[in-house]
Amino acid sequence: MSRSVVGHSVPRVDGWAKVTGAAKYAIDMARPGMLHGIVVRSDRAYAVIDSIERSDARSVPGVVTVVTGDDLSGVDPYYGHIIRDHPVLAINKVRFMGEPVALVVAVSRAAGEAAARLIRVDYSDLPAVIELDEALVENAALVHDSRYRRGSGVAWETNPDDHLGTNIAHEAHLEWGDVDAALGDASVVVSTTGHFPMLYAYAMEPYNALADYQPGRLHVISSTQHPFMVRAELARIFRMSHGAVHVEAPFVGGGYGSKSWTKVEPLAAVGSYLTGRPVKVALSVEEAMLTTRADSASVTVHSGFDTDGRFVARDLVIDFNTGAYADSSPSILDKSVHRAFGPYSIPNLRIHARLVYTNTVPASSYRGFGAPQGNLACEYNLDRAAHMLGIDAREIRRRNLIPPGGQVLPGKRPLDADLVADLDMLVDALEDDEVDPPANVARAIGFGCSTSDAGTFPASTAIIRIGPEGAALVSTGAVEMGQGSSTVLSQIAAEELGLPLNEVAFVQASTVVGPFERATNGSRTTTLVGLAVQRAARAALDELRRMAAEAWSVSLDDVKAAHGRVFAADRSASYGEVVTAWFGIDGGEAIGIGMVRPEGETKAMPPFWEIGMVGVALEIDRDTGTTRVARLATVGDVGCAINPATMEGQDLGAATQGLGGALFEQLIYDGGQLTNPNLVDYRVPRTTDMPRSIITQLAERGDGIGPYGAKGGGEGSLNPVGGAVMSAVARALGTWPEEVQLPLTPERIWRLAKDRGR
Amino acid sequence: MTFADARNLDFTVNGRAARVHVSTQAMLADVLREDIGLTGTKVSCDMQVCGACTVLVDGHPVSSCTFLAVDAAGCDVETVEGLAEADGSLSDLQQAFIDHFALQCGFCTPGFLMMASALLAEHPDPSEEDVQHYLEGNICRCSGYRPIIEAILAVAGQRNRNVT
Amino acid sequence: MIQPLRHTRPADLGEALAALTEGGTPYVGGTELVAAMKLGLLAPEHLVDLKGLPELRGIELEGPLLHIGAATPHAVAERDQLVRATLPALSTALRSIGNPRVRWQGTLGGNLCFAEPRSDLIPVLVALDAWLSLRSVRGERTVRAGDFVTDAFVVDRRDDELLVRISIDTDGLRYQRYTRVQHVERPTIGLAIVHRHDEWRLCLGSVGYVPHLTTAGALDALDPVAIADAIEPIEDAAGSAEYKRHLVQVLVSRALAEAGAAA
Repeated sequence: MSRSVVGHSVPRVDGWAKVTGAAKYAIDMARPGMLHGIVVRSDRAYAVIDSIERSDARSVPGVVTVVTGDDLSGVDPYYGHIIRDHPVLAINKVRFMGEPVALVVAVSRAAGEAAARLIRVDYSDLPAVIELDEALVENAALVHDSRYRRGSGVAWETNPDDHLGTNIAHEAHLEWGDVDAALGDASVVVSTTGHFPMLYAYAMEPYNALADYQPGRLHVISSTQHPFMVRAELARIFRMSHGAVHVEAPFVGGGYGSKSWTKVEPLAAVGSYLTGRPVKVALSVEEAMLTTRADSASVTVHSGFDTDGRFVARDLVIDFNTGAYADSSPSILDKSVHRAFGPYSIPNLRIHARLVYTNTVPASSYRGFGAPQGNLACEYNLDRAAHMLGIDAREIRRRNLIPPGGQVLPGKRPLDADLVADLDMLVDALEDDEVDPPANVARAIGFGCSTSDAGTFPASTAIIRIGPEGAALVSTGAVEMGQGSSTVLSQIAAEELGLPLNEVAFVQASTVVGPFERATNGSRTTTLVGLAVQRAARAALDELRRMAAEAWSVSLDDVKAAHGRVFAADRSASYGEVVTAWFGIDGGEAIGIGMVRPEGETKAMPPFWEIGMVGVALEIDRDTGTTRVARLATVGDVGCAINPATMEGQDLGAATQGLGGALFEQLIYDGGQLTNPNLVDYRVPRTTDMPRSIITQLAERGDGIGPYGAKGGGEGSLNPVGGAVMSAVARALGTWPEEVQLPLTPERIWRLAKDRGR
Repeated sequence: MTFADARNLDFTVNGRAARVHVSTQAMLADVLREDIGLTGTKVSCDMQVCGACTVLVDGHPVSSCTFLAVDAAGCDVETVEGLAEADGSLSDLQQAFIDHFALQCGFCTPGFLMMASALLAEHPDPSEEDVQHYLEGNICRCSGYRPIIEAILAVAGQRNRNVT
Repeated sequence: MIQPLRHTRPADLGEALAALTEGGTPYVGGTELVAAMKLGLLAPEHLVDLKGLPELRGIELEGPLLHIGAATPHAVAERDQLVRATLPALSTALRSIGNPRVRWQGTLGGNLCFAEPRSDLIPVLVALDAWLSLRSVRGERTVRAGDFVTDAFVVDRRDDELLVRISIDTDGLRYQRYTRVQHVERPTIGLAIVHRHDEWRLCLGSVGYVPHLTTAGALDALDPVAIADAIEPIEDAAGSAEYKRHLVQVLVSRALAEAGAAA
């Protein structure tokens, strides 16, 4: 079916603004009378705060006030959407090095920073736990020993009180069949432990928020993916109604999940609340790295196979090191359990997962949302099994992949993808590369699959307003953070309305200006907000038809609307003419509303299964461990690519982040101190790391419930990268260790080669 | 005893004369973004390694986050806001970035555009490796770099065709 | 934000030297100095901007001696015809420094005086046996590049002295090469090898806290294992001491093989 706008790689609607410097991000915003909030941070990993000396700081010219946890009695100072364990400023204790202890509010950054240096905090140190094993040992020092309340309005199956007396914040368990019996009967059991590092998402625009509190009204501009969730949190903290809290998200300079939920908004809002002036808190990258990270994990898997390499059982233990506060990690742990065992038919399964508090930077969501952590161990485990059984890596997957319409998880939507077809697309692209490397270079391919219950909860609304010129304004709560939502949603609106794309304008997310959106995460926007936009467009056309029917005195059934015009038997008018005729003035609007909730096509959960299919060809210098990616291949199984170029761009970006985590990136702790919170010592991929050959493909089989058969994408291409790289390294060096660790730095690879004896 | 010092800074920005009263503590990025209101130049790593803050000073790329504002005295500073023509039409580089989907969140884009501008001035006919090497100091976290490199090579190719 | 400071711009060398005797801190590009100030590691009260001094600029040949003004940006020296023709290894090293912004703003003198261990420039100057001219109100003296860096971030320059010029004898140079391994944001190992008259000079940078020079009369007298064992590597995210010593061995072996093949 040929469509005029959807399915075409039209230029991004935000392109002009971004190439001219006109695009405004939260960091670019200012207000008259604005003050600057400078954060003073703990230099202890775990300690009681004995006293905070702030008189010297207060007397620095330009300082308006210094706020500490003692000044928060007028508000509800704890936040956290699942477990409300996170104080806006440390109260009584600090739980990680870098935790905000005080906020200096001053007329300039210079004054604020000068004052911050003069603040003296006295601590009594407590024994800190940094590694998983330290936190899990019996009688370990406890990061939390309080009863916390559950988060606002979110129905998670966790009771924060279940694990008092331990450092376990949350547990999850999934089981079917009889794993022990099956493993006992299996032809071969392959065991693997995979260690996934602490990673930092590095959105290039660091966290920042500008808050303006007036009695009865709180206005916040933030670099956030979830303005409505932030609104809910702020409303509760300041005991205001949702309508009194206005949260806006302009262009966001990168998110990748790390700007989900609530981050620095409460800090800025508290500063404004206590001074009566707008306050901006803008973190440096170093501070951002002390604000949140991705969960690190240890995953142990025992897989039982029959002689043909078919799974008979998988038994997993997953432990997440989640840092000092829970943030979204209980949900990430739940998802990790769903995603770890892979897109395979597994007759007997048992997974036990624990989310563990430690005195480190709090972890929260990052692209993949729990999938990468499990994928490393489990996909590598499958490749190790293939090697031991003498079965080709593609073939062993073919034998186990869930077929289209098959069950991934009981009670959930049947699989809406053809994984074997995707796999063939992927591996064909990888294998089609005959190169003879020099003698000291080892070369091999590795690839992996994932499927994720993505999309999150379907609650989205969209409003389309058609004005007197016949042009349309599309209003949703989706945040444009680079993924292209403003373009894709505009394309859907243009297609449905029959308007050229340049007659569709997009409104940025605002909890006051626009309608409700649960969140911009989980690869949901094209599918769920897209459906809402589609429905809003149809409703807007119906509204135009009603207006025309009334104006022309004809039956509604005889009126059609398409391609910018409204038609009845012997007359037609442009959209704009219909609107102005109805209102009787050169003005007015026809408004269409579209809503999505769990019903009809969005009733089954998840709304779609997000597929990950990625492979690499690596060239490894055995003598030095230096590794080059000769080829990167991705397949985006997205049902229908509304904008193919932006979708492939998303896949390449996701896979590149995956390569960073597989080869270079890791946050390194020395005792309680994070040693590398900066972009020199935390290495992200650069132009010179680009794979020599990149093949991005799209599989569009129209098998999603989104507009035009679309499904979500953008995280899938990160999930399998770690396991794929590990398997490629193992294959290249001819060594398949039972315990593996990312990132595979040159030294790690050299040691693997050395231990192998080559 | 140290004391704060401030002076008038006279320089040109995108071809127009500017005079700003600046502190000796200020970096060029702060002056451009806050005193002059040109927020197109972004600050990310704040330590010269990400390239988001790249501007041209007398035609050469500098990290404006670590460039003393007072060092811009008498210099010609060019920012992303100066790339388009006076009538608003985009430069060939800007158009190429749009055409090749060389941006996603856009935060790194001004820095890449200024670097690309300097690159093509120094190497009018760069190889792909030349482009990769020149841009080694610019981070993009969204795109995976390939479309950025393609956009720049396309512009170079177009300019060389126009000349011959 | 950096600490409050006074900033002056001397019009000539005499004014600059006088400012130094009063405690001023000299700078040209500031890529390392201002970065350190932003991190709070240094807080000079008076910055002396040397950019306007012609005595610190220029590249010229005086007989066999190539003189490079200390305030010459890396990018300018890198593409200078004289440098490329007579000192291609230096050109290579300069092209490897950081990124183009650092190369346009940063200078040879700044890089030398800051003595960051992970410098691409310093091992090449040591291998080339460069001479450094320092001026003060008290007069002028010269220091060999190999003697200049005494510790990480520590050089043989008194506070009132200015590095004015770097001089390299281009006579008798039969072979020169700079290679580097870099896995993280800073170089892991830089290797400069020079054959001048009858002496082979091999200098390793970035791997230890100071550059490490080995000399020999013949190429095969250079022993990769001995050289690696003599190094005290910096242990950091780029690797452990054991790994870095191994890398040194590999890199030196490869460099020697390449030098031998070129002969």
